[in-house]
Amino acid sequence: MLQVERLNAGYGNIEVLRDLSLDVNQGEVICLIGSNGAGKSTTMGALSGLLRQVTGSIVFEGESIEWQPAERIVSRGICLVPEGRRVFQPLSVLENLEMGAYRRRKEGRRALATDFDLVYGIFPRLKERRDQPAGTLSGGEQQMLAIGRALMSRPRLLMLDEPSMGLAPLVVREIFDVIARLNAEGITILLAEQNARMALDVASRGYVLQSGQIVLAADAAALEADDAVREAYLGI
Amino acid sequence: MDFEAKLLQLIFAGISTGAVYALIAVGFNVIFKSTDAINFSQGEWVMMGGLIAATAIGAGQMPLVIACIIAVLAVATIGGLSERLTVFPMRRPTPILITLITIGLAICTKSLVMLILGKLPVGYKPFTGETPIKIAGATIHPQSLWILGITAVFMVATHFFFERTTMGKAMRAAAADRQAAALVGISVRNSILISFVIAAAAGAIAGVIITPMTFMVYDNGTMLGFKGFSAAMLGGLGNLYGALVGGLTLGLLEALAGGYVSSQFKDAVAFLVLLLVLFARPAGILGQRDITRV
Ligand SMILES: Nc1ncnc2c1ncn2[C@@H]1O[C@H](COP(=O)(O)OP(=O)(O)OP(=O)(O)O)[C@@H](O)[C@H]1O
Ligand SMILES: [Mg+2]
Repeated sequence: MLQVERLNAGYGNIEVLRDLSLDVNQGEVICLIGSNGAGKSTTMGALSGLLRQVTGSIVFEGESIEWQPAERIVSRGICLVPEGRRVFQPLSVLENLEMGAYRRRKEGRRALATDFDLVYGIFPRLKERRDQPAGTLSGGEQQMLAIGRALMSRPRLLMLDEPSMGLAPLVVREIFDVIARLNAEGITILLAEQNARMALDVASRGYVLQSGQIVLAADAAALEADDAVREAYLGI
Repeated sequence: MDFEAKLLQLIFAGISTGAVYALIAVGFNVIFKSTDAINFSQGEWVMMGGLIAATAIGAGQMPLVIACIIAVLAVATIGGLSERLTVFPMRRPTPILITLITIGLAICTKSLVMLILGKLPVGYKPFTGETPIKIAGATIHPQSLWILGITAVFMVATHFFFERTTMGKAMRAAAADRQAAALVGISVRNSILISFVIAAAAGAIAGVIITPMTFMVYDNGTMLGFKGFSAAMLGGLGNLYGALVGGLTLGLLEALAGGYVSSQFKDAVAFLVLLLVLFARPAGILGQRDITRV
């Protein structure tokens, strides 16, 4: 579904990613683990089109997309839930979800109604708070909204950048359950996480990122058993 | 004239100039919201609105309504073109770059208008005559009612656009978080373009409705822009309702200062207000109400 080859990306004259290659198959949950500053968010930025300073090739469903800006990539079926949630704070919950479907605005209300039902079905709390400004939601609710907003674009590949960041363990559990459920419903998932334990539990395969390079790629079970991974990321 | 009648008279005058300042302030706010830049050509768009309408009526022999509509459409187009030709081609349009560019645009606009339309003050008749309407001992000019009515309609329409239409909501989203907006497919570049068009239209409308009261000259733009900017700052930069509050307050203060202190003092009011706001309450009267949770 997604093939990334020899991706180089950075900011100004700072090179961050060096010859990064990875691939994601239809239906998988792939996790990208790495410590602070390893380049997880940079990878997400490059794949979603936010980062324009990119060389290498990104092929999604047979088409190369590395030259496309973020606002076009979302129409292709890739959507990123960015690090730190980044909901539109002054807009209401409902308006945030509406904006998630911005690229589908021509489809009309009827088509979007089923998507609203779907999102409200997964996150009933968003329905209760739909008229509230997103900025007044709790951290966990904002994360739900950020995921809900992304779902409104009907992505085939959903990318999540540290969805567990700053959340209480119970909420993290809830979010990861949703990730598993979305995958079961057919959405392919690419997940960047520092919380390697949770990520490896839900993922089928994983990549370990260090200083902008992939240092290890294996099945989730193999990564969990790997001594270096256990020591560096699982704290065992 | 007794005290109450004089006060009422000044209030009428104040809110009608205030409404014009509010329109100009809307222009500053809309562009500030979408770009974080201060738009120095805002006042030039006001001036152009008045001058183009006057030219269409005078040289073009057009009916007043048509001339005014043409002026507003022309200036809105010029606003959009200005953005496409200067801001759009930039790789990374930072607020400071955009601000500098609008200074350049203002200078170009003023010179071009002077070359093409001349240096003479122009004007045209009020929309519906000049017979003052008497209210409680004071009088109000019929044009003032037009000014208030048109400003009210524009404000309601703008509110509707930003709160109810998908495009308006997308512009608010882009103003709140550019990257997140791009991620859901909103083109931030387009929202900058639309903000220039709206700001230019707001300016042109202000120019078209004020010209029958004051005449318009090619170099009026700077002062009008400055007044609008002070109003925007007073109400809270970037806040649509702040523009209305700031504009009316500034208009009233000016009228009262002109009536009770000295008419020469009038223009200094905007400057004093601006200084006071900067010292005492940089966020403006309505401020940015903080709904953020970290
Ligand atoms: N906007 C930026 N400008 C310059 N350098 C940046 C920028 N964003 C990130 N970097 C640098 O790129 C490197 C990788 O950062 P990145 O955010 O991708 O890491 P990460 O793996 O997501 O870390 P974290 O777990 O803390 O989110 C870091 O060294 C960082 O300093
Ligand atoms: Mg990160």
